[in-house]
Amino acid sequence: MQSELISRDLAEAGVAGERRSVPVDPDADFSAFVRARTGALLRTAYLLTSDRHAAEDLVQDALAKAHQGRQRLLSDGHLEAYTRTAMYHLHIRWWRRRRGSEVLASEPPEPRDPHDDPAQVTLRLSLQQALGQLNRRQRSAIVLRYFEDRSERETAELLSCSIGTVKSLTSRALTRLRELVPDLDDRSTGQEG
Amino acid sequence: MGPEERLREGLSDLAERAGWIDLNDRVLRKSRRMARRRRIATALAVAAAVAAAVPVALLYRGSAPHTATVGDAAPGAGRPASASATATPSTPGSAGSDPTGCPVTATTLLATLPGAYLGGTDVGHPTGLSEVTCYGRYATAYPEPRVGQIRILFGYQLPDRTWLALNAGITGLCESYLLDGSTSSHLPGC
Repeated sequence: MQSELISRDLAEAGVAGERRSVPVDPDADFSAFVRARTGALLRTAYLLTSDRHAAEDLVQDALAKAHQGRQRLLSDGHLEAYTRTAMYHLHIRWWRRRRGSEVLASEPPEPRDPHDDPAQVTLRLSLQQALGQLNRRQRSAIVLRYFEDRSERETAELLSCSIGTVKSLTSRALTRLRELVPDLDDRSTGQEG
Repeated sequence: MGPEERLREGLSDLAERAGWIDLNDRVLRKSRRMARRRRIATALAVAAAVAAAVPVALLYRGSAPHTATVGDAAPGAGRPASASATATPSTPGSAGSDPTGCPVTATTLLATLPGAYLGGTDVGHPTGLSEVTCYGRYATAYPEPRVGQIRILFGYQLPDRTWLALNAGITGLCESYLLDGSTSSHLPGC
């Protein structure tokens, strides 16, 4: 999360700073935005899709939509917010189109890094599998609330649903994750969730 | 550490596996493809609009060749009421003869919602619409009861002269549908 915050800060200082002045070259500014923020967008997309290629496609499509309105979005300073909203909507739309025929992709396991904490590796693998068991709206709610640290209201706006729906999605998803990933609870003896 | 903190930590760790790739060229190619597809769709819509508007315009001018095809109408007296009904046999009635479909009532737009696909956005179960804004073959409105700040975008299909629910969301509703800023600037939510 630390690297996320640092890269957001950099973006605030650089690309997103255009909100105070009219961009001179929207194409150059947009390309700078793409290169600066692709990493952060890919991280979110990877959590949503559990697949690198699908994550790249998702980010590509969201950025392409943002590119269509780049001039306005750059001058308003809404480029990143728009791209992220588009990404969540596209993610859910893909699911609706492919529902019924979708087979969750499972990537080959990563080569083992000798510096990895074995408990951390176990948690990561379990979590990746467990996220694949959630539906896309639940997964989006989890990513927004616990990866992007969005409030319930912001999550509701991004997913275009009510706050009550966000609460329900999050609660069901958390219950399911705790069933599927006992490690989430194992180390929390005596603490309330 | 609580389960939610463990979850945060696990998600951050997992997200780091995403890697990085320069998507700039792919994004530009995809955007060009989208723009090309949109131009084709717009050209088809314009062609359809012209095809629908020309006979109506000719009839309004009292053009003799058209009135003659109406059948029993008196020669040279081709008035719009009967003639336009012949030119466009499936007028749903709500939009009158205005090729933009405006003004339109909330009831007409509400009737288009059942079964409509709104780009994956949940608009609840609207029993009404409020703040209807109609401009240049498009309209936006809030569903009632409201779902946050979500608006619905409607479009007026010219060959059929019917309204369709197209999209829903908070901002950028019209990104995939409108080409010129002069139209979208009149529509809240675009």
